[in-house]
Amino acid sequence: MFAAELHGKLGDGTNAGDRMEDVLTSNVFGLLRCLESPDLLVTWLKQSRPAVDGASLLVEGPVHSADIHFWQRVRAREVDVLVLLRGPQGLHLIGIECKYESGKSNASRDDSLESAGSSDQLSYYMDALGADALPSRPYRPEEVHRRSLLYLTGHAAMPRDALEVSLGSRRERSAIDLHWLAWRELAPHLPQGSGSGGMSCLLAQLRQVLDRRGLATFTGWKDTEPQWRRPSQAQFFHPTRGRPFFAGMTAPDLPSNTTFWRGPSRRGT
Amino acid sequence: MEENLGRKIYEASCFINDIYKQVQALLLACDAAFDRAGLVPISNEVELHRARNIYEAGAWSQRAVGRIYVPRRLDGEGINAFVAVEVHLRPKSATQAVLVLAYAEPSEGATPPELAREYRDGDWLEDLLSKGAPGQTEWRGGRAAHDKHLSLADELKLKSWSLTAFTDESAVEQVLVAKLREWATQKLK
Repeated sequence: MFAAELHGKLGDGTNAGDRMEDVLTSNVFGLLRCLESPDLLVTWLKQSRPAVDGASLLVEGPVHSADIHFWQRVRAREVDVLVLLRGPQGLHLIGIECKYESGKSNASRDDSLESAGSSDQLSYYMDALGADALPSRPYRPEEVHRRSLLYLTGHAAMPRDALEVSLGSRRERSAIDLHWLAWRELAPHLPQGSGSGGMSCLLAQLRQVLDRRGLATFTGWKDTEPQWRRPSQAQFFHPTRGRPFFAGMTAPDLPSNTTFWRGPSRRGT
Repeated sequence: MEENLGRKIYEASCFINDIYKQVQALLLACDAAFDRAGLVPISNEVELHRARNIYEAGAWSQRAVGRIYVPRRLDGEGINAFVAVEVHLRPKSATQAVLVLAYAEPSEGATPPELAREYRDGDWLEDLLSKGAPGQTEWRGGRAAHDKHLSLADELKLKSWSLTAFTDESAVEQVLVAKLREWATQKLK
């Protein structure tokens, strides 16, 4: 399922950044959508943090089911993922804007989108989702008890400035929360290794995808060493007469007894 | 020509790539832990960051990385404390890679840009550990004892851990934040 990504076949070129972002979104939420239980998705969503200190958590109380929809039209734009969490209180509508390496895609001043809403991308979605302005809604507005927008990014720390700008750029005042979540918070909840087949194998591969994208968490320091070593029996400096200089010569051990990490003794130089 | 030389160079680059990925993950873990504790970075000059091109020749010879953090909410009268994190792959004070955590009370009126600039230009804080007894992992001292490192700090406290002491991201957060709380409490006393 993830073979092309794990083998670096997605390539670069025109719009490579957008494609990498969309493929990541598709891989992660496509697999979460295949799971019978919403537990993994909910566990991950619970790692999110509200943009406003002291505001409600994104997920409170039990969740019975989770429906995932991709690239739903929201007024004149598309929100990457729409999650419908169903619980005892009803439906919790969560729009998710996914970013990998780029920031918000704000509309420019002369963009026609601006006339239809805020030029700030997150503000635009908050206003639109708050007004249920989806041309083809996969839910009934009357069953919604709560609405949220989740900003999903590659940051390790919350991008507070971006969130605060979005909160201050809204044009409508409908009730909707803004939260932030890191891609990397998903990795610890996925199995390591190759998995034992079936869904476990796919989840393990997803972890490898996140790792390859630099979106995995720290899992402990491992003192790695290169596979090659100087032959213990051989003298390092052989006489070179009559033979090529490099014959029998190998690179030194790394890194324990060498000064491989040579560098400036002062910072920033 | 050594027939396996190409393969060995390839394996060496994989090894270096692995080391840098691990350091990057550790630094991001520190960023995340400090963010939750209310600390934000003020220096980018010496970070090993996702944007850094590890294939640049200069990156290969880098042996240490460091960063300064300050409390997110400043009270308008300047900062009353700041934190530095350094990761040293070949430290002077130990035979294995270490993480150094520093806590300091800055001189009156010191601003974040001034601190960041002085930290960038000064000596590594890890050097202070190497001047004591072999294997020393903690240090504290007044400004005169570290004037070549951070003269804008009135008092500086340091502790180092082997990188193998951190088994996962939660361990990083628990260990570092607990130590910072201990130092901050000492300050209040």
